[in-house]
Amino acid sequence: MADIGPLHHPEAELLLDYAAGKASQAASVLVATHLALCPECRRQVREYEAIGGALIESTPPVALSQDALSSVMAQLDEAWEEAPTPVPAVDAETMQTVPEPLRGYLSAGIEGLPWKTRGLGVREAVLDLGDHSVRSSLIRIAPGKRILSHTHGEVERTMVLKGAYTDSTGRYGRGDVAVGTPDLDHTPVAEMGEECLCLIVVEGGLQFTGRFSRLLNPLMPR
Amino acid sequence: MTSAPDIDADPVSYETLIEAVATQRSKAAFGELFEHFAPRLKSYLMRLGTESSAAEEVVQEAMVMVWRKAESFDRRQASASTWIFTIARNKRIDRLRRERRPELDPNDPALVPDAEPQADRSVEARQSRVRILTAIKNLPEEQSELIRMAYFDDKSHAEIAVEKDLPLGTVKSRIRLALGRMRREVEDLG
Repeated sequence: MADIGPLHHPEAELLLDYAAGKASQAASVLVATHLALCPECRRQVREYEAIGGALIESTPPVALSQDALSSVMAQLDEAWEEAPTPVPAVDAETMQTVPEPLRGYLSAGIEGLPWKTRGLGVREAVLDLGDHSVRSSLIRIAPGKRILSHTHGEVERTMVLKGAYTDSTGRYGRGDVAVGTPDLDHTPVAEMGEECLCLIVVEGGLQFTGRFSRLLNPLMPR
Repeated sequence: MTSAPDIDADPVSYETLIEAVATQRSKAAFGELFEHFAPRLKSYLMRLGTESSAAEEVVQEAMVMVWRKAESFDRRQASASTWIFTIARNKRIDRLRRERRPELDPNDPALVPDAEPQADRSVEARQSRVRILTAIKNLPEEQSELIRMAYFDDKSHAEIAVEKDLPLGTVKSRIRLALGRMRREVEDLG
């Protein structure tokens, strides 16, 4: 067991889906960004990939077309350079706070996002992680402020990038991933001292349950 | 279902072949890798629902990447089959989504490094592959089938539950049990 890194991790099934190449694009961004902060889950994903490799080994082969090998051989001598991954030049704060691959989606930096107020001390910026079946956003909660009580249509995954918050299920700090299932009705409260910045990926929408819910729910597209 | 791995009977391992591609640009070594892995990758991709000619294109792209990226192969980190599996997996996703699969950047200054350098892991990944295969073979049928479906069927756990007429919780717990058993096999080595 690693003695450094986050305390709350994505579910084993999600790490497995990521290793098997079956997780959604947005969930994959969340997992891979968690992996940057979590040596323990990196190790686990390597193990799941090793299982994938072993399964390939035990798969009954399917013959390729006759010219497949010669067609590949013909490509081997072509000049090739790996396309450099574009590195957005972002401010030092974004650089330090947001690891890759999520940082690659924030070319304007954290402050350059279209922040919208979502209640007292809470702001949200919707992200395009290339996956429109899933709602992805960054949420910042001012110190001591809370997100209104809400439940989830399907599953909500939250990863803390800065600061920390507490709800009925525990305390979540940098790199920690919280998994909210439909039966969880929670009210995350940011710790005093520092703003809490989180990535939230919701599969299947989000329902506010508090007094102001009628005002807020229309803001949340499904 | 699972046939015994025959690699260990070979004088030359697939890991050595990839290294020959990396250091000598050996087309003979590449040809052997192609002969072994390409038909297995095609099988994998077709089980995931890719039709035959598209599967063949992805296999060809993946094998070209094996040639081009052979220098980045490290046998302490992954066996040949694991490394090639990840290349084919990524090529398939890139094709489906028109976007690169999100992966961490090992050189990211924001990355939290491993507690102990991986180079210190003395057991080669290749040996653990044999252990994993044995572990899969020794799983109860109900678990090994779900593990195969988790990698080879383009279905969510919920869809697998419907197909097998099982509660979702049962599917998840069987997959977890199976992963736990296999994990112990790998950890016993290290």
